[in-house]
Order: sequence, then C-alpha cells, then structure tokens
Amino acid sequence: MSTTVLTFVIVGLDDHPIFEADLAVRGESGSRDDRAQYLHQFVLHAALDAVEEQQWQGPNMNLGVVDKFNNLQVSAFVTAAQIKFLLLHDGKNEDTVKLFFRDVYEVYLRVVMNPFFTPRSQIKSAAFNQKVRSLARSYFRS
Amino acid sequence: MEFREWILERLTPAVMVISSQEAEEICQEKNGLTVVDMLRPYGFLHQLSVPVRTVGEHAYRIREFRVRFYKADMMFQPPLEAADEYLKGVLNTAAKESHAVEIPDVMAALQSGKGFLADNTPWWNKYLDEFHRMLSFGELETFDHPVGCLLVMHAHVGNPVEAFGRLFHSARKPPLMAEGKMEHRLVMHHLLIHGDNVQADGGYARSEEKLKAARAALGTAAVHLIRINSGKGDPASVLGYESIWRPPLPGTLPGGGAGEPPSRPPVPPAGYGACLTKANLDDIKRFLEDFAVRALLPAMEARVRALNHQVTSTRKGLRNQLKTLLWRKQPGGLGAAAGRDSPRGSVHGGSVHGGSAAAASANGSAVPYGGGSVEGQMRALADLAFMMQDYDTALSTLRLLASDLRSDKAWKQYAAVQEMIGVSMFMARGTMTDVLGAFKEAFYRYNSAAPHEAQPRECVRYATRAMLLAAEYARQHGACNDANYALMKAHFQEENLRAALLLEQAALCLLRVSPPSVRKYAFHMVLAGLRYNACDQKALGMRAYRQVLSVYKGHSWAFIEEHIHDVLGKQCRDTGNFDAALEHFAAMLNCPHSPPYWQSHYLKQFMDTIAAAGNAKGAVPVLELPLPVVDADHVTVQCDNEICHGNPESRAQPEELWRSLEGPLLSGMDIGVASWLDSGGSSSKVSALQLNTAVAGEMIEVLISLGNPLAVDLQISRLRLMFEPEPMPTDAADLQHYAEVLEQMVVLKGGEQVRLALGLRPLRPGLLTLTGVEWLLNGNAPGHKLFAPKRPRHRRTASRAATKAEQQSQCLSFNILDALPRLEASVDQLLPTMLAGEVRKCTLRLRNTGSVPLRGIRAVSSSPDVYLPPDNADTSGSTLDNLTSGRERAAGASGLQEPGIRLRRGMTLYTWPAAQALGPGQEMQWPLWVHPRDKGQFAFHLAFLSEPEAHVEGMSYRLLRLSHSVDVLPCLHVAAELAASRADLVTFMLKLSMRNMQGLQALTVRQVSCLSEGWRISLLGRRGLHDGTSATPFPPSTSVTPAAELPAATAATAHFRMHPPEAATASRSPGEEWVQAAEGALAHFHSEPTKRLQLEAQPEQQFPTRPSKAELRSAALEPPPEPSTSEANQPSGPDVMVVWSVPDSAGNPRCIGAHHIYDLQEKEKVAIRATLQGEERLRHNFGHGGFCAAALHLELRNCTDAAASLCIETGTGSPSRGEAVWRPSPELAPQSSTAGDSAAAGLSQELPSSSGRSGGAFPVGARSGSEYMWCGSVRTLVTSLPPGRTTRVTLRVVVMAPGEYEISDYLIRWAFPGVDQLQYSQPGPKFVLRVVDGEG
Repeated sequence: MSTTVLTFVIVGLDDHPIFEADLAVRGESGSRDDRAQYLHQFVLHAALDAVEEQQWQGPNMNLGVVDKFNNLQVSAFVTAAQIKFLLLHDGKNEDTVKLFFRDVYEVYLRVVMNPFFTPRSQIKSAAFNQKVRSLARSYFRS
Repeated sequence: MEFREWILERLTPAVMVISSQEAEEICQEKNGLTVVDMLRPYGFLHQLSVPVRTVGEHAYRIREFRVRFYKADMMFQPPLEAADEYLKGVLNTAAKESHAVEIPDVMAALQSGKGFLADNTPWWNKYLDEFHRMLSFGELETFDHPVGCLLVMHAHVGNPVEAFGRLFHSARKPPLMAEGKMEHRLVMHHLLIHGDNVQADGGYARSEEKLKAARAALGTAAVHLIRINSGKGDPASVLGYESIWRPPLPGTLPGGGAGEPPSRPPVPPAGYGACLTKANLDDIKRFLEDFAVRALLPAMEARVRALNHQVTSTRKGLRNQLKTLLWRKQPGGLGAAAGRDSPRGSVHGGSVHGGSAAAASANGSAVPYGGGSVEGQMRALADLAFMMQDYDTALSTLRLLASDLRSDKAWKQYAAVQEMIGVSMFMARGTMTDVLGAFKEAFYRYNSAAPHEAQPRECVRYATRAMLLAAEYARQHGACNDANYALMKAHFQEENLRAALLLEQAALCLLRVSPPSVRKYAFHMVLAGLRYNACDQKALGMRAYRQVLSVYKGHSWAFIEEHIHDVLGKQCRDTGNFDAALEHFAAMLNCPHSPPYWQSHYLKQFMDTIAAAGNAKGAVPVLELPLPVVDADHVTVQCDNEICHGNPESRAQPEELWRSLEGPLLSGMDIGVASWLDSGGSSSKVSALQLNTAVAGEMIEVLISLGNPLAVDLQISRLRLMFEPEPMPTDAADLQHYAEVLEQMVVLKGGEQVRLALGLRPLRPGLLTLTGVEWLLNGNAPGHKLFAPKRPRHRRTASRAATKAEQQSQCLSFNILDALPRLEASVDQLLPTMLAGEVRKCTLRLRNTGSVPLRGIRAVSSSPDVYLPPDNADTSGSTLDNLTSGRERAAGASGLQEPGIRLRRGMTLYTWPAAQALGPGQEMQWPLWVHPRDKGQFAFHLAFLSEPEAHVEGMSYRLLRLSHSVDVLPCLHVAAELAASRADLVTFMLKLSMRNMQGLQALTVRQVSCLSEGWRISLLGRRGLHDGTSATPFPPSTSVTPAAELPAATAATAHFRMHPPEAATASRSPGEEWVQAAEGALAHFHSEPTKRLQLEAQPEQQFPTRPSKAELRSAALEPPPEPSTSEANQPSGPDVMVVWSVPDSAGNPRCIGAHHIYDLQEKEKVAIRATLQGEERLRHNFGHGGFCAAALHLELRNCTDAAASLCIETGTGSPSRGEAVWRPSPELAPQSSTAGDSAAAGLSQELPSSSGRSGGAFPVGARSGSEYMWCGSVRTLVTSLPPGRTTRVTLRVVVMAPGEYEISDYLIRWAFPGVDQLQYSQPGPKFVLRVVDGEG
C-alpha cells in the first residue's frame, strides 16, 4: 500500500514558509521516500498562485482545494493577515480538512499573540508542532 | 504569427508536381532550386477577385489564395521514428543557438512591470513548424491531398504532348494515391520550361511553337511556357531576390517525405535563383496566376459541387437519415455483406468499404475510410470547402460526419474530424468555448483510441497536435490559463522531448496570465527542465532551471532550492564549468533540514568538485561558503589606539570611569580637542570620517561568531581576516607587507557555535579596511565571507546615532599610525581574595612592548587604598619584610618625581620623572601596596599615560587602562572608646572591643599605634612586676605591642592609656614596634582618609579637559562641600591604628592587616577634671590625741578652652540632681589588675561568666557618712583658672576614730564668666582614707 501524503505548511509574508510539518503516518517500513518531499514542496509552492487568485473571491478563510497536480491536492486556508495554511494531501475529505484548519488556526493564534512573533519569523515552538501533529492524528487517522 | 493567418497558410490546396528529369536539371544546375522550390514563393496569390460558387445559391469572391506545391513522390507522411529523429535534429540545431538567447530574469522583468512577453524560445517555433509538417499527408484528413497535378517538361523536348503523357504514366505517385485513399482524378496542367542556357535549335521561338502545338492538343488553358535562366549567374547580375527562396526551404529527411526530397541540390555560388532575371520571375508569376484562377479554382469549384451532390444524395435528407439510423444501429455482427449493401458503400466502389467500419472498430483496429466511401467523400467535401473558404459548408459537413463516425465508434477518425471542426469553427468565428471544446474532444478521442491502434504513438502525436492548436488559439486570444491547461494535458502522454517543450510553453503561458502565476510557472519550468534532462537536452534543461532560480531564491523553501542547485551544479560540473558548479554546490551546503547522510553527501560532492576544479585549472576559486555560518553583521573590533586596555576586565568598566581617571593625566597636555571651527584646514578623508586608529605592529582583534548548522563535523583551518590597504597594491603578493594576519584552526562539532577572536597586525602606516574573513573548509575548500559594509559615518550624524565606543567597535576601517611605544602593565602577587584591612605589597611591572622608547609615565589610581611608594626600594622582599621596623632601608634605584598627589574622589596621581625613559623591551618594577579596608568587592583601576620619546604624527600620548578586582572577606572588627582617666588629670583610657569576624583562623593583635601629633599610648599597669625590680609604669610611646591572640569568632576587650600632647613627656621614642607605623605604606594608608577630608574641603581643581556629560551630571548630583568652619576649629581626637596578623601553620605571620580608628573623642566630655590625693594610710595614736587630721590635695584642671571660676564646697551631702553631674566612668583601676602579669594587664577577656563584673572601686565595708569632718572654710574659691591650667586646693579632714572613710561629700562648682551665666557643679572624686590607730 502506498504511503499517504499529508504535508502541512504555513506560509508567511513574501512566500516564506514559517512552519513545515510532514504529518503523514509512516508505514510499517518506517522509511519514506525522502525525495518525495521535493515534489511536495514544489506543488505547495506552485499552489500559492492559486491561493492568491482565489482568496479574494469569497469571504471564507477556508478556500478548499485550490490546486491539483496529478493525484496531489492542495487545500488552503488564509488568515486575515494573509498567512496561508496549505495542506498537501491525496484526496482527504474536504470537511475534515476544513475542521483541521480551523483547529490549527486556533493554535496558531496563540503563537501570534507572542509579542516577539513577526509574520516572517519561523514558528519554532515545540508545543505548536506537537499540537498540530496531534490534530492531524485525530482528524486524518484512517 | 497570427492563428488565422497560420491556418490560411497551412490549410491550402496542394498541387502535385511531376517534373521531367531534364526540367529539374535546368532548374537545379543554375539556380540550386527544384522546380517545386522555384514555384513555391509565387503560390501566394493576392489582389484577386475571383467569383466562386460552391454549394450555396450565391457566389462569393476569393481575394487571397495560396497554393502549395509538392513533388508527387514525396507526398507521404514520413515514418514515425524517422520523423522523431528528424525533429530531434531540428531541436538540437535550435538548442545550439539557445546560448545566444539571453536568459531572462523573470522576477526582475515582472517587478519592473514590463512583463515577460518577449518570445525567447526560438527553438519552439522551429520545432512546432516541423512538427506540423511531419504530420501532414496523413490518411485521416484530406486537405494535404492534391487538388491538381502540374506536369513540368523542358521546352526542348521533341513532342511535348507525348512527353507529357509518358511523364504522367511513368512518374511515381503519392503512396496514398496508389492505395486509393487519395483522389486520383485531378485537374491536369502542363508547363514547359525553356532554359536560355540550353543550346537548342531555334531558341525561344522554337519553344513557343511547341507551346502552340501543345495547346492545340491539350487545351489552351492547360499548357504554359515559362522562360528561365536568362541571367548570367555571376554575382554582379544577381537580382538580390534570394531571400524569397531561402526562408521557406524546409528541411529534408533521409528517406524523403513530408513533401520534401531526401536531399537538396547544391547551392550555386551566387545563391539561389542566380540565373533568374526579372522577366523570368514575371513569367512564373503570370503562369501561376493563370494556373490558379483559370484552372485550379474552377476545378475545385466543380469538385465541391459534385461531392456535395453525392453527399446530399446519400447522406442528407430525411430518407437518408432514417436509413442511417436503421443501418447504423446494426451491431457489428452484420459483417461486411450487410455493409456492402448499405447506401454508403455504393457510390464509387472504393476499395475499402465503409460498412466494415463498425466491425473493424469493434475489433479494435484502425478503420480506413477510403476516398470512395461516403465518409471519405464527406471529409473531402469539408476540406475542399474549407480551402475554398466556405467554412459554413465545411462545418456542417464535418458535424454530419462526426455524428456518423461517433456512432461507428471510429474514434481516431472522429477525433480528426473534431479537430477540423475546431479549426473550421474558429474560421467561422465560433465562440471560444466551442472551439476549445472541439479541440479537447479531439484530444480525448485521440487518446482513447490510442491503445487500440497498431501505432499508439501516432495517435498521441495527433492528440498533441490538437492540443497545440487549442493552446495556440487560446494563447492568442488571451486565455493563457486554457493554453496552459491544454499544453499540460498534452504533455502527459508524450515522450520526454516533446513533453519538455510542451511544459516549457505551458510555463511561459502562465507568465502571460494577469497577474502572472510566477510560482506555477517556476514549477512547470522545473518539470520541463527535468524532462529536458531526461532526454539529454542538457542545454535547454539548464536554461529552464536557471530561469526559475530567481523565483525560488531567498524564499527559504529548502528542498526546492536544494534540488535546483543540485541539478544545476551537476550539469555545470559535467560540462566542465567548475566555477558555476561550485557556486551551486556551495549553495546546497547549508542544509540542516536534510538527514545527516545527505549533509555529508553534499559536503563530499562539493569537496570532490573542488578537487576536480583544482586539477582542471590549477587554482580553486574562493567562494562565499555558507559553512560555517559567519555572523558578519555582528563583528566587534578590539584594537588599541591611544587607549590601550591592559586586561580584559578593563574593557568592562564604563567609559565615564576612565574619563575621570584620565582627566588628571591629560591635564596640561595638548590633546587636540577639535571643534567644527578648526576642522576647516584638514578636510581630508581621515578627519572627516571617523576611522578607528591603530598602531603599526600592534594587534587588532576582531570577535566573530562561527556556527555549524549541520550534524557533520567541520574542520576550519587557516581562518583569518581579509583586509584591503588603501591604495590597493597592484600586486596581490604585496599585501603581506601591509599586515601580518594570524591564522586559526577550529573544529566545529555538529550544531556548535563558537565566538573567536581573530588577530591582524598591521605593519605599515596608512589606511586599512577589514573586508571579511576567509578560511579553508575541511582542508581543501577555500571560502570567504565579507563583512557587512559599514562605512564610517560622518562625524556629525554619527554622534547622534551611537556612542563613540560602540561605533568604534563596529567600524572596520583603520587609520594605521607608525610604530609607537606601548606601555604594558601588570600587577603581580595580587590574590583574588583578601581579608578586610589586610595590607599587601604587590609588584607593578611596567614594560614597553613597543619598538620605540617612551617616557613621561604618569599614573592615576582610582582608590585611596592603593599606594605607590615614592621610590622602588621595596620592590623585593615580602610584605612583612618591608613593614618590619628597624631594618636597613636602602634608597631606591629610582624614584617618583614627587610623592603621589591626592586628587578628589580618592584618586592619586603619580608622576615619574619626565626624563626617565623606558626603551623597547625594558621593564620597570614598582611596589604597589593594596589595602582593602572594608569587606565586599574591592576594585581598583589604574590609568597610565606615556609619551613617545620622539614625536609621532597622529598620536602624542597613549593611555593604558588596568582594572583589578579582589574579593574582601571580613576580618577584625574594632570598636574604640575613649574616656578620661581618673588617676590623673590629663591621660585618657582607651578601650578597644575587638571581634574576630572570620570563623576559621585565629589572628593576633600585634601592635596598637597612635600616630596623631603629640599623642602617645602606653600599656596599662607597670612593668618589672616579675623580675622584682621596682615596677614603673610603661613609658608612653607611639606604639605598643600587646601581642594578644584572638581565636576564631571570639571577641576581646583591651585597655590602653592615651597620653595627650599636654602630658607628653620628652620621650619621642616609638617604643616597641613590630611594624613600622610612622612611615612607609602603613603610615600612608593611615593618614589617607584625613588628608582626603582636607582635600575634599578645597574647591575642586579644574582640569583643562572637557568634562564629559556624565561627569557634569555626577558633579551636579554631588552635594557641594560645606564650608564647615566650626568643625575645623575643634581639636580632633587621636587616631589609632591596630595592626594584626594572621599566622600560618608555622606561626609566622601570613598576612598583615591594619585597622584604623580616627578622631577618637571622649565618651562624655569633662570640663573640669579633678583628683583628690593625699596619704591614703594614716597612722594616728588616738590615745594621745582626740582626732586625726589629714590634708587632701584636690588637683583641678580646666579642660575647656575658656577661663573658669571654681568654688569647692565641702560637706554638701549627697550630690544633688538637676545639675551637670560628673559620674565616674567604669574604669579599670590599677589596683584591680595587679593580679595579672604585665602582658595581660590591659586585656581582660570578656567571657560570658564574668560579664556581671562591675568596675566598682570601693573597698567593701567602707564606711561613708559624716564620721569625718571637714576643717577649714566651707567654700574655697578659685577665681580664675585659665584653660588647660591646673591648680591645687588643699582640703582638710578630721576623723575621730580609726577606720576607713570615704571622703565624697564635697562639690565642685564652676562657671565660665566670660562665656555664659550658667553654673555647673559636680561631686568631687572620692577618696578612701584609711586611718590606723597608732597603738595597734
């Protein structure tokens, strides 16, 4: 069975990724193809164009699936400060992704409240990382 | 080219040319052109107005018309492999020219707003044209099928009519025509070519005759004669029309095909068409107009009408539709027989029957619909109508055909029809959705048909063509997203090369979208690059990658940047471009996100390339390596200019402290304080900018941070600073004469971060700038990092931004001065921990490490507890040796110019004689006494000033800063009390309560000295008690040595007698001294606070230096010294110094300390001191006389400074209250201490058990009361007792019986008539009189 694809990225201003996490559940073998990360980053980065195109087309923060490449889909969520949450997946339920984004947004808000946080600074908080991973586990456990 | 134009040029009637060998030779020999080539440029006919009528009622006019000419035997589609091979060749040729095309900076172009619309992919256009050509003459479409046949014969042939017949029958026809798939009934036209170069009988006139004959036989309109080769063929007579032939000359395939012969004739020296004159060309033009208008168009018109008639009769109309419905519903099992009877197969009896279509398609094989089938006819009708520019007819026919083919499930043919529908719809100005929908349908059907075909790739090619048409259409009509979509769709099925080209175009489409989808463009371009690399088109692949580098660079998408640099680096390495390869590999090195395996792999890859580059070129380029991570923005400079720092602690002290210390040093020196007024003359660069000043030969240190972000260890060797002298020497080898650079080596563990100090020693005066740092990574890869350019700012603006010190530490430009002397100082034998009050002698070493002698050393110490003696005699020897009294003290080898000058705030200025020079390398030692008085942190700072012996431009003096700090532990606590002695009128009793505050070791109080002028001290008690000689009181002296031990954490009290100056005897002997107290260091420390008080009272001395703001602020905060006149007049009490020592294990003093008590005042001031003396023991024979009389002498002393009048009243009873009363202070009477030996006389240990002991002096049982009687007057008056004077009054007492009497009931009253009217009184001192009966 092929391994699932689930990569979450928060993109700050100037297209800088400020948080990256590979949320895919690792299979029995434990060793994933590290090289797939290259494609994932390319697809995620390319999807930013689609996000910017679609973010003004409606009042929703959640944009749904904005871009596709082969069987990879990119779902997006744009905060009011133009920070973009991108999730690369292989066809997850859109509602689940929406819920996941909503919960991550809440956690993210706590990070933003840090007065030393700027939209260009990397999120290095271990607690945030753990929280996002546990959210991913709870939503995308299959 | 515009899409409509392109279609009009591409989908035009084709004419099959059959030419005789001789005719070809006439053309090729002189002109380098085949007959077809010669005719082609004139195939475009414009400015026509030809009325035509196709299927409709009304005629319309054709204004423009193009005819394509092809050699008959070459009208076939080349095989797939040959075509691909040819296309690859085309691309290879074009790719070689790609170097000439500039690689655009996409981001810059987009940001500048110009967009990215310039066509910078010329290879694509070439490839696209050839790709379309390779797909022509297919069997799916008929617009490449010939509509006419042109027979070309040379005019010199004997019988042209026969010759034309022979030629047509013997010529090879297109393969499809031979197979019957191509219409073979064509309109025939004949052309005779007369070559002027051919020597034939009769010349042109003869040819014209032949023309007439031929016209008579074949028809007037069907034969033409043209004349060529009238020119000489020499370059001088060339018309210059070569360019009309050259551009459209298509390439050739080895086996021929796609309308072109396998090879072309050689080009004549004068170029194509060398022998054609203007008249010749006009001939050709006339012929072609005639041919097109009078032969070709009428023939096509007729054919369209004929085909339409057939189609209408078989396919259109209600009856036919019903038939079709019925017949086509039949399953494939009906077979060929059923099909044969169907209306479609019955028209012309084509070799392949249309009815077999359903069955064949069910079997999954291709279904050829022959030219004779009704489908073939419909397709031919549609294509002809299209070429006749009757797009509506074409479209309706195609739609009808499409529905038939759809029901036949002949998907390949259906797809071709859909493709044509798309084109026709476009020409008929249909909507974009319809046009694109048709193309997409075509694409989809081609692809779905592909798996069932014998040659699936052929279908894929057609599918790609459909999408290319769609993309071109969409792109030209502003729908770039659709174009991108179409091209992306097309690329999935294609082989690598075509996929790469498609992806590249798809990417470029995204840049034309508004706003440009740059990121998507970059992604597609990377995919294109991958495909290019996969098909070995390295140049184009690299180009694709290099274009997107600017999009991704600097956005922290680590994996993306890594991939791009990896690919580019490897390609550059393979092409031998090591410099670029190294740059790319270096950019990959900072990859903390990668697993350690890849980190080491990338490192190894980089190192291997470095080695390869070294082998190839001999030298390795120095790169700005990302490893280790150098923090170039936070570089701190440490260099010594006129201010040198002697130790690291001195750098930590605030600048204000040093300013206040250095002020006295600089007093009187011209330190050149510049203002904006006097800077007019020296407007050089050096003065206008704030440069750091450094001295040649002295080290400049730069603190930088290095970090290793990887998990792999890094070995950094030859880590050194880079510098640039100004002016820059022409030869790089000369750099070493400017400065000496110190190299370092460090191994950085994974994740480690270190801060290093790099050194540089300038050797020449001048300007020098530190530019960066360079190193050797892992022993082979040279790297460098430039510091962030921080040019020194202008003085005025800089002063606002940052403090001078901060800015100096940031400024990397130096003004190097010539060699200067440099004073270095150190304090030896200074312990990190001392006891409070300890006196320690350290050694101050002054050394000139410069190369020039220095002189005029001055020093300022910040603390009064640091002392430099006036000469250096005491340099050697221990602290005790130098303090012990009675030693031979030799004069020092050198001395200070004058003893230290005390300054305010405890500072002391020491000046060495100006003539005393310190040569290079010379050292001077000086004793330095340290005496921390209080517990806690004791810090002292020394600032030295020295001047070069010879004047040096730029720096007239240098300052050295030295800072030391000592932890001080508590040691001895002494509390002193002074009280008037009751035994006499002048001396005082001194009580010292001492406590050993340290809990570990005992200390010994070795000496108590009183150094106040005139005051002396002595032990209590008498000496000589032991040896039996007469005990005499200890003589007063300046010092006594009680030698009392004080164990750890205990307290003791000691008493001494103090002799004021009035009582001082002539003896000025210092007495028994353990250490020298009157002079030397101890005396200095003892007298220091007193002198300081005197100094502070004086107005502050003004130094000529400008005080800093901080100094002014602190001065404002300090309360001004009060003019205390009254206090100054008061006589100050004696000062006492207690000297102690802490013995080591052997009992020798380990360290010595002193405790100072200043200005001891009496606890209670006594105005009139009195003693009552007389014979204490009287023997009287009471048997003889009734009473015993005793004379008592009352000594009185006026201790005030005013004359007093006294009155002694006797017999007053107990002292009354309410007046000033003198009470006896608890005083240890000499009698009470008789039991102890002399050593312990003054010191009684205050043990808790003995705390209740009182100092009562009265013998127990002494009677008091009025058992004695006063004799004489009750009042004795002393009218005036001047200050300090003593007087004696004799009182008489009478007792009646033996016994002990306490004489106390008398009162001393006094007044100061000159001062006030008050009266004072006190009871007189008691006296115990012991009367013994003489008889007893």
